[in-house]
Amino acid sequence: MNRITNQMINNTMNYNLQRHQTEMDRLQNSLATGKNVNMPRDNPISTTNQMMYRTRMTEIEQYISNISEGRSRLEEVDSTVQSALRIFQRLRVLAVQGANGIYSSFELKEAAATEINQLLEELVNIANTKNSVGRPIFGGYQTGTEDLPNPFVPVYQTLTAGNQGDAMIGVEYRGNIGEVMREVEKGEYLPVNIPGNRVFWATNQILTANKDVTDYAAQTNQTIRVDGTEINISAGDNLELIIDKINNAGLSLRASMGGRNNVIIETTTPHQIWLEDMNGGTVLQDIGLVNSNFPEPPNNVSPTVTVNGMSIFEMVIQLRDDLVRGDQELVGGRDLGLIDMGLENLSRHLALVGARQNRVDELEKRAEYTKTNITELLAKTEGIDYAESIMDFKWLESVHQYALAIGARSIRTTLMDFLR
Amino acid sequence: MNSTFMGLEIGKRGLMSHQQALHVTGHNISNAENKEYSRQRVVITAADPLYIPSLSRAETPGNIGQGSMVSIVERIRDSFIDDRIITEKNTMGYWKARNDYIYQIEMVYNEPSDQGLRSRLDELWRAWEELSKYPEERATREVVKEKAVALTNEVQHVYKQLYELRLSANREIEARVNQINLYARDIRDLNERILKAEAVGDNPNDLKDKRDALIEKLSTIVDISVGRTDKDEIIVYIGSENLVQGEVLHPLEAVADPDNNGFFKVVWKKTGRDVTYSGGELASLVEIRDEVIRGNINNVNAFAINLADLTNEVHRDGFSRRSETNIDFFNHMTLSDNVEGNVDLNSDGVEDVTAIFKVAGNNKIDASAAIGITGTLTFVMNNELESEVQVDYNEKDTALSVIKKINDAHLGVVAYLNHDSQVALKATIAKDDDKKNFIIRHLEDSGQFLVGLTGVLKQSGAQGAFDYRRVNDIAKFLPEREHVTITPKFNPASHMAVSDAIMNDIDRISAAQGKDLGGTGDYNRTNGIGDGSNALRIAKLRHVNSMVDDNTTFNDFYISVVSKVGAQGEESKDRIQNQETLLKNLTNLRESVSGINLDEEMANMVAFQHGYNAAARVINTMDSMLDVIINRMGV
Repeated sequence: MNRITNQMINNTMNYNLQRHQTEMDRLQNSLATGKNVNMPRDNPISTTNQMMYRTRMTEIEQYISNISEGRSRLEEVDSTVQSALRIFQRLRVLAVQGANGIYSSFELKEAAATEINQLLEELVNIANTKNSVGRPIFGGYQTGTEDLPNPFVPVYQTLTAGNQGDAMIGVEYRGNIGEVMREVEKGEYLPVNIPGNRVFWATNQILTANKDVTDYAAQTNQTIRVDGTEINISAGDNLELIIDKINNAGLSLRASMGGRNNVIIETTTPHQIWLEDMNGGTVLQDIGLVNSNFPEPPNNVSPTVTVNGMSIFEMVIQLRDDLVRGDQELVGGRDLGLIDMGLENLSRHLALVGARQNRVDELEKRAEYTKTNITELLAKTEGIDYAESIMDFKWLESVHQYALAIGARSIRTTLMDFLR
Repeated sequence: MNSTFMGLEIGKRGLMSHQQALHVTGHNISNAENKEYSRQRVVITAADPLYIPSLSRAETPGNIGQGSMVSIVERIRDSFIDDRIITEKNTMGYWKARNDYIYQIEMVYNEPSDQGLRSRLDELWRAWEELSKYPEERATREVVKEKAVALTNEVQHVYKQLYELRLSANREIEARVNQINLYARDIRDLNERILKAEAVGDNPNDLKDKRDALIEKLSTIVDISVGRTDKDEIIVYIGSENLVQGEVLHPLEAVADPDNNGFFKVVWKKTGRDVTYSGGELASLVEIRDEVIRGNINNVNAFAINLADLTNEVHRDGFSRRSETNIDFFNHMTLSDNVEGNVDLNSDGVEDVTAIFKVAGNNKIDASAAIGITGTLTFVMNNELESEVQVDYNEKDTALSVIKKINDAHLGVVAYLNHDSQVALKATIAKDDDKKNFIIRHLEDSGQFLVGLTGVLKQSGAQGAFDYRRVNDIAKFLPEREHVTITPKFNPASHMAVSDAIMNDIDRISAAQGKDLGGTGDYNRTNGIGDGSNALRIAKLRHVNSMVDDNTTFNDFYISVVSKVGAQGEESKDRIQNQETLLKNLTNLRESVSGINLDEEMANMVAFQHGYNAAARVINTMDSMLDVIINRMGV
C-alpha cells in the first residue's frame, strides 16, 4: 500500500488492541473458573469427552453406593446365620446328652423340652431378623407388610407331654424366593440375600406325586417355574420330555418317573422346592404336584403328594418330641444325623455369603480404581495448567503494553505541530 | 491589444481557483473522520487562452493565458474495491447472525456443567437405582418423583427457550425486510437527485458517498450486486432480480407462510413471488429458524417422547406398593382425541390420518434363534416423496438381525426388543413436515415375521398392511389397544410431565415386578413389595440402544446433539475471525485510495495558501500599475 491515512493507523491500532483484549478476557475467564472450556464452541471434542466422563462418574458413584449397601446386607445375613449356627451347637450338645440317656427323669425331660422350646423360639426370631430399615432379611420379596410382618410363622398347640403348655408344632414359610439384586457395574448384578426356605432347611426334600400320569400330554404351550427358573412346555410334550426339561434346566433338583408312573422330584441340595404354573397354565396341577385350589406358592403342594424332608424347625421339633418321649435311639441316630445335616447346610450358606463378600471386596476395589481414573481424566480434560495460563497472560500483558505505547506515539504528531 | 483589466482578471481568477481549492481542502479535513467519505480533489486547469484563430483576432502574439479555473471537483473512489467489500460484508453478515443464535443455543444447553439436562437425567437413573434398593420405603419414592419432576421441568424449559429463539429469529426477519425496504427507498431517492445533478453537469460527490454507504449497509443484510454499467441507471440486484433500478423501486414484504406455522417468508410485494436470496443476515436467520433451531427442537422432542414412552412401557408392567399395576409414570398427551388414533392432520375438518407412535408385538421372541421364515417387509420413507422401501428377511436371520436391517435403513421407523422380549416398532422425527413427527407411516409384511412370529399385524400382504393415510387403520394391529401407543400431541417436550397418578400418590411408583397369572399377556400379580426389580429394569433403560433413528442410548444422543451445536459454534467463531481480517485488509485498501491523510491536506493547504497570497500580490501589482496610468500619467 503506497498511501496511508490517519484512519488506517487508528484502525490498525484498534484492531490489534481488541485482539489482545479478547485474548486477555478469555484467559482471565479460564483462570477464574479453572476450566479451559466454558462453552461447547471453545472445544467441541473436549466438551463431548467431559460430558461422557461426568456421566460415567455419576454412574460409578451409584455403583459404589450399591456395592457398599450390598456389603452391609451381606454382613447382616452373615451375622444372622452365625447366630443360628451357635444355637445349633447348643442343640447338638443337648442331642448328644439325650442320646446318652441323661434326661431320664420326668423333671429333666421337662427341663430339656423347655430349653429346646426356648431355642426354637430363638431360631424363629433369628429367621425373622429385620435389617437396618426394619424389613425381614429372609423373606425374599415378601418383606414385612402390615398383614404379614414375618416370613416365618410358627404354629402352636397345647401339648401335655413334658408339661409344655402351648408349644410350637410347625413353622410355615410365608415369604418367597425372590433374589434381591444390586447393579454393581453396567449390566452386572449381585444378589444380596438368600431366601429363607433355603437357609433354614435341613434335609433334601422329596415330592412324590400320587397320580398315574402315563398318558399325559400337555395340551397347549405353557410355562412352569421351578425354583424361579422358567421352563417352556410345548403342546404335546409327554412326561419323559417334561422330566427331561426339568432336569436340563440347571437346577439343584432331579425329576424322575416313579414305579407307579408318577412324578418324583428330589432336591440335590437341601431347600424347599418352589413350584409355580405360569400364565394360566395347569401342567403342574395336571401331573398331580400342585394343589388346584391353592395353586400359588408357598404351601401350594397338592395334599395327595407325599412330602419327605424337613426344615430345621421341623427337625428341632422332632428332636424335642423324641427327647420328651425318651427315645434314645432315634435321638442318637436319626436326630443327631439330621442336626449335622442342618449344620452343614447352614455352613454351606455361610460360605456362599462369604464368597459373595469377597466378590464385593473385589468389586469395590475395582469401582474405586475406575472412579480415580475417571476423576483424573476429567481433571485433565477440563482443567487448565495454571502455570502455562499465567505465563501466557504475562506475555500477553507485555505485548499489549508495547502495542499501546507505539500506538500512542503514532497517532499523536501531525504536520500541524511543525507548521509555524 | 490586450484589455486594461486583463491582469486584474487573471489575478482574480487565481484567487478564486485557489480559494475553491482551499474550500475543498477544508471539506476534506472536516470529513477526516467520516467513515463514508471519499476524498475530493480539485482539478485546476488553465482558463481558455486568447485569441481563438479567427478574422477578428487582435494582432498580438498569442495564445495568451487567462489564468486558472477549477474544471472539476474529483471524487477518488475505486468501485472495484467497493464491490469486493460488498461480497465480504455479505458473508460476514451471514456468519455474525448465525454466531449470535448458535451462541444462545449453546447457553440453553448449558454444557459442560452439572446443571444441564444430562446431569438431571443421570440423577434420575440414580434415583431409580436407590428405589430398587429400598422399594418398600416412601423416602426413596419421593426422591424418584422429585428427580423426575426436575428433569421434566428442565426439558420444558429447554423447549421454551428454543421456541423463544425461533420466534425471535422470526421477528428479526421481519425487521430486516423492513430495513431492506428503507435502504432501498433511500437509494432510489438518491439516484433521483444524483441523476438531476449530473444532468446539469455537476459532480454530486457527497450524494454518491451516501449512496455507496447505503449499498454497503444493505449488503450485510442480503446478497446484492450492483450494476454500474449504465451511468444513468444504477441497478441494485438481489440474486438476479431488481430491487432498485434507477428511480424504480421493487420493495419486499414479509408474509406469514401457512405451510410453515405462520412464520414469515420473504416475497416481492408487487408480484407475491418468493425472493431468492442466498447470503447475508436474512438468509442466515431463515436457515437458523427453519433448520438449526427446528432441528434442535425436534431433537429435544424425540428425547422427551422416547424417554417417557420407554419408561412407561416398563413401568406399566410393574406393581406399586399397593399392588396396583398398569400405571403410567410420565403423562402421555395424545394427538388424537379418540382411542382409534384418528386425527385431522390437514385441518379441513375431516379426520384423515391414523396417528400411531409405537406398537409392541404380543409374542415373546427368542432374540438369537433363527426365525425360519422368509418374506419382505415394506415400509414408506418418512420424507416428502414417501417412496416405498423393502427389507427382506430369510430363514437364517434372527430377530436381532432383522431389527438391525430395519434400523440401518433409516426409514423413520426404529425396531427394538423391549424388556419383555417383544419386538416393538416406533416412529421417529419426520424429514418433511413437523406435523408428521412420530407417526408410523406404513407397515406391511409379505411373510409371517410381523404377523405370526412377533404378533404385530393381524394379516400379511397388502390387505393386512397398516398405512397412516387411512382412518381407523388401528384395526390392522393384533395387540390390544393398551399396547399401541398413540402419537403424542405436537412438541412432546413442551408438555413432558410426571403423570398425575404418581404426583398424587408416590406409592403408585411401580418398583416391583410380577407375573401373569391368567395367561392374558398382562401382568396381574405382584412378586411382593420387597421386589425392586422393576425399578432396576427402568434404570437399565439408560444402557438400551433404542433412541431415535441412530442406535444410541439416551446419553449418547444428547451428547451428540450438544457437540453438534458446539462444532457449529466453533465454525462460526472461526469464520467470523477470518472475515474480520479479510474486511480489515479490504477497508484498509479502500482507505488507502479514498481516505484523508491530514498531513497531505495540511501540505496542500499551505501550498494553496501561498498560491492565494501570490495571486493577491498579483492583483496588488496590477492595481499599482493601473494606479500609475490612471492617477499619475499626464498631471
